[in-house]
Amino acid sequence: MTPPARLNASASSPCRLRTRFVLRFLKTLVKIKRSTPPPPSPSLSLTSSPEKIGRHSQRIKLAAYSSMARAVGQRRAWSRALMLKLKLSDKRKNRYRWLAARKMKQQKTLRRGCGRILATKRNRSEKGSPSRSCSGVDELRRLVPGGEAMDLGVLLEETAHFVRCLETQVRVMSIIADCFP
Amino acid sequence: MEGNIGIPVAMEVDPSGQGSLSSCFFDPRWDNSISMEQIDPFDSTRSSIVSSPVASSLGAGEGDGGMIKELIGRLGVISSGSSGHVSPQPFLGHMSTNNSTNASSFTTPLNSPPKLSLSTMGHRIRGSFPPLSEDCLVPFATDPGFAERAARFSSLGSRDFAVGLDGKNARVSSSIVEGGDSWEGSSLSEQVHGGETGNVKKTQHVDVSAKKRKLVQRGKLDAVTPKGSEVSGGNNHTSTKKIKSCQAAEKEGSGKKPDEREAMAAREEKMQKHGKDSHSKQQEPPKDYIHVRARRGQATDSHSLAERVRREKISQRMKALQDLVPGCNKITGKALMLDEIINYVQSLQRQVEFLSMKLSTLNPRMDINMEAFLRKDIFQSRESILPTDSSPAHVFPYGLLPSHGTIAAISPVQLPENLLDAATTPIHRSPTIHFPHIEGFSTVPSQVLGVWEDDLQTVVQMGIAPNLQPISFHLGAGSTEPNHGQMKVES
Repeated sequence: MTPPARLNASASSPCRLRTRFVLRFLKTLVKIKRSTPPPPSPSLSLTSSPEKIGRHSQRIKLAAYSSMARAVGQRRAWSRALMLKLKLSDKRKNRYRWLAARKMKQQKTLRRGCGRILATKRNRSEKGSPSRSCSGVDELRRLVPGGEAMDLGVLLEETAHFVRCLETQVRVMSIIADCFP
Repeated sequence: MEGNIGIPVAMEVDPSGQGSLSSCFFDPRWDNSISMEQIDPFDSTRSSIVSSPVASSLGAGEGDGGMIKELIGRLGVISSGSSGHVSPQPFLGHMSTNNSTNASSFTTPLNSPPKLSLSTMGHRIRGSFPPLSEDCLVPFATDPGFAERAARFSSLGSRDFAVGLDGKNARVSSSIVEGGDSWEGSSLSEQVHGGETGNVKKTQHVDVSAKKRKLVQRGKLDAVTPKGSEVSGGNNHTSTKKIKSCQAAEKEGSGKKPDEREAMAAREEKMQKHGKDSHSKQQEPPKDYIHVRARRGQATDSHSLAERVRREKISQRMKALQDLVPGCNKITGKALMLDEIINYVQSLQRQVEFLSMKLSTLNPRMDINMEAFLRKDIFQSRESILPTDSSPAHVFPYGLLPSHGTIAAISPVQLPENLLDAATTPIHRSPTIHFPHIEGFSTVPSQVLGVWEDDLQTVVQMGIAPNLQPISFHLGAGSTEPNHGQMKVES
């Protein structure tokens, strides 16, 4: 369902972005909660094993990132790259192994193609690459999804938007976490 | 053709140049004759013509005619200082053939032929002829902007004289406008007083780069200093690497009016005058074009310009990032800034991870207080939360909630109601939490957020502890509610 917060379709403002993110994230959280087997004793969360907790938190983290990426949509390069990455990784974890295996092959090809494209893009954008500031830019490229293929100028722009979205995410999640005792 | 010849001839023969020059100048045939085709025969000569010092080349007689030619020639050809006795033919030839590209740029310079009177005429006519079409020619005399144009093209050299020339031309042109015939006189007068200008004229390196559109232009215009003489000498050398054309060095005539000069300077900005223009007095900011301008002393080739653009873009983005990342105001330098940004991004990602862990362990414990809060919070929430039409239908039918507080009226099918009921607890529990939402978000979104959170809580509770249904008593639906709620939520 489209989040109700889509007040208007203009460019994402922080308010609308947050709303979209919140809605999506909550939906996903609900899903996760439902899918998570309820602990034997509702009041005790400690019964879950650390691994379960770890996996659970990992799922929630992925849900947060994916909902954020979807909230941003196709407008930003980093969100596109992130969605693609999540989709590929998600496919990899497909339940049907054989299907997953087949898909993996396709994905590998796709990824290789993407990688090649990314690599060529990177080569083309060599001048923006860390020739000047060696490790800093490299590190930034690793942090920002899809940053390997970006020129430095584009990378910085995407970083700015990415930082804003991350801040939104943190704020929303903290509020949600605070809501519940 | 005869017109061409006639004119130059007139100029040549006329020792003083003024009288005949004026006549020739305004010779109606001049325009026509100056057409490209007529000039063709001069092409050969044109190529050989090199800019030569204006002063030296042109004699007094040729002064006027030479000036005109000079101006014309300046447009595109670098005058290396060849003798000033450039026959009008080669001059014309140059003009015609020299560059059609320069034509546009040269039109203006042609407008102020009087400038050329200074003596530069003699030397060589550059290919500015092509621009010297009739339309050019006519305006040539009367276009006060000639000086400016000339200045524009003369950006190459460090010639300050370019500016000076401009001024002179402007003056001359104005004089021409006034009295046609008198232009030579005026030019001559200028020539006289603008001795240096004359010299300067000789080599006007029209900025070839003008074609480039991205000329680095600098305030070489300032070089307008009236020292035309030395300028002329140095012109050739100072011109930019692209120097192939003569520039209307005269621009910088000493006597030119300050305003003209400035106008010229303004135009010249566009032109690239990379030479260290000693004469440059003022740096005019680029005006008309949306070019990248190379600053003084900087490289002017396209690569460095593009590189400069890129660098500026990157620095802009870095500044924007500086505003975004807290505590980066004092940091200067890209490397440090980048490190700071990286640290901040990593910290944000760690925060997300921590919060996700917190959320994963937190939810199961939220249903305990629901009942207690539900009742009272319902009323509170109803007041604080407005029904949002934009909200999904399944979520917030606030309107359905009985304002009087009897939740029983809510149809069990409507999850939102359930949620709302359940939501009251969290709302009540942390009403302040929602309000911050409201501040940060628009009214509706905040409400939505609040509702969603409640919804989430409710759903979570339902999912985790189906047995615990704080709202069951409200709806009377019992265990069926959660399913409804969940399904609703799912949708």
